[in-house]
Amino acid sequence: MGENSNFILGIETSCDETSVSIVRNGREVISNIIYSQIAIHQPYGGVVPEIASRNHIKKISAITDQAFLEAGLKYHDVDAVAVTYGPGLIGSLLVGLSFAKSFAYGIGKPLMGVNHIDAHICANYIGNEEVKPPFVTLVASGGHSHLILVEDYNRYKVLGQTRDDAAGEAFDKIARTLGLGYPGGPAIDKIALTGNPEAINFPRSYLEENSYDFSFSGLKSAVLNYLNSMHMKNLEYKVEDVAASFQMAVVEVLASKTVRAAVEYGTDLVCLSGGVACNSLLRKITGELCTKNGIALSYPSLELCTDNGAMVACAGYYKFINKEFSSFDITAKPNLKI
Amino acid sequence: MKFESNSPEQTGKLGIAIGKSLVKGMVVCLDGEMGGGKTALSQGILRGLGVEGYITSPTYNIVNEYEKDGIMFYHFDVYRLESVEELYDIGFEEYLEDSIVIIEWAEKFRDHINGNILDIFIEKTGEINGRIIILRGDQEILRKIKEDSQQGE
Repeated sequence: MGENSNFILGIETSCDETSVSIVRNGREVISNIIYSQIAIHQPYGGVVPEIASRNHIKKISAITDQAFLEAGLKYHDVDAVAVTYGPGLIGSLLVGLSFAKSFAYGIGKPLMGVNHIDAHICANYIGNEEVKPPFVTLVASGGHSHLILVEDYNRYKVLGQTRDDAAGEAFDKIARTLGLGYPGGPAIDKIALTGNPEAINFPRSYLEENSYDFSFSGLKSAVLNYLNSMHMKNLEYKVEDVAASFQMAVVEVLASKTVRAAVEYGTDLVCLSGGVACNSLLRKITGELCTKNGIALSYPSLELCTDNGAMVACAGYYKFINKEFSSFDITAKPNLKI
Repeated sequence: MKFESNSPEQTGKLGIAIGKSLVKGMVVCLDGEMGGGKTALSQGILRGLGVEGYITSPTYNIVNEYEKDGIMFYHFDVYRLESVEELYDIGFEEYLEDSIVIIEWAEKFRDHINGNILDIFIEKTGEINGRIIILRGDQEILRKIKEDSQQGE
């Protein structure tokens, strides 16, 4: 262990992934163990909260041991423990937070509570030395849709956010209606590849001219109305076309607002964060708009876009070097804001 | 009591009238199919209660909380809860104390929700944005909602 090596243990249990990771100096993943409950929740079409927290309890110790085993480190080798304390499901958050507190107390190292949205943004730093503030990032997942100006590590300016449904939530709900299953994002992404994105002209909700906010509930209603009217008229439609047209309506708005923000705030870098950053069309369209405007685009690997402990460890690292420690009476905050 | 709405905006306006009429301790049970306007109506209700800023869908977190003048408002979406035990496990009863609660998809657990309840059902009509919104509850509250909703017309 060199003098300048800091190992942070990152723990993430805010939703349906139990994940523990060890990251060196905020950028290098030493181990990142992710146990996903997706298969468990699939029959229900979404995360069932109580099942989620019960499974976190079952898995978290073993996953932590596996993270140390893969890293070839002992408990006392880590310098601090970072854990997501919100936003998320209360029961699930409490499992990770209680575990992290006892672990940090047990090894006598500091604890850092991390905001889940902050962690998604920090996923962009992992393995990418060239990603440095300032940049504009879209954080879009099942529970969030934020457009954020990252002025510095730990200094964020929220430019806009959703006024109703999150982008990933819209994907999940439309996928369920189309019978494509859970999680909706990958299912729609895949089937849309064989559909025509111009088949149906669903509305793009840009809101007021200068707004960086999002709204997806009108689009959700438009898709449901379309399906309903086709059923009533006994007309056939192609699920592929509906999925592709819906996806294009979401992606165009996300991509254009994100790149417009980068142009307005004069950053030469755009980052995509959160589960929706896995979407292949979002990556493509945002990339095209960035190229047109001479802006670089970066996004984490697929594994680091969805929930994981490495991004929590990374966010924790920037708190650690600023000595921003949390007290041991920190509580879970399901509605924590960024 | 029956209301008609022809747009999400109109649904929101009715929500505001409902919100202004609610009193501490009340529970709003809100049902209707996906895309019917449950969240739009809830947003109106919370605006009517005086909540400013963003009011977003509670689907992901199960419950979002807001506060105005020391009173807590809890906005639930219980769609993803599978059993009433899960409802109790997230501390549902504690949320009911001295607050105002809105529950989307309440029919799943309607038999287990007691107290001063306002039931709301949103039904789609044949028209694209057409909705019939049915309210059931305390007569005095319903009368006040009707009065408030007519004032803006």
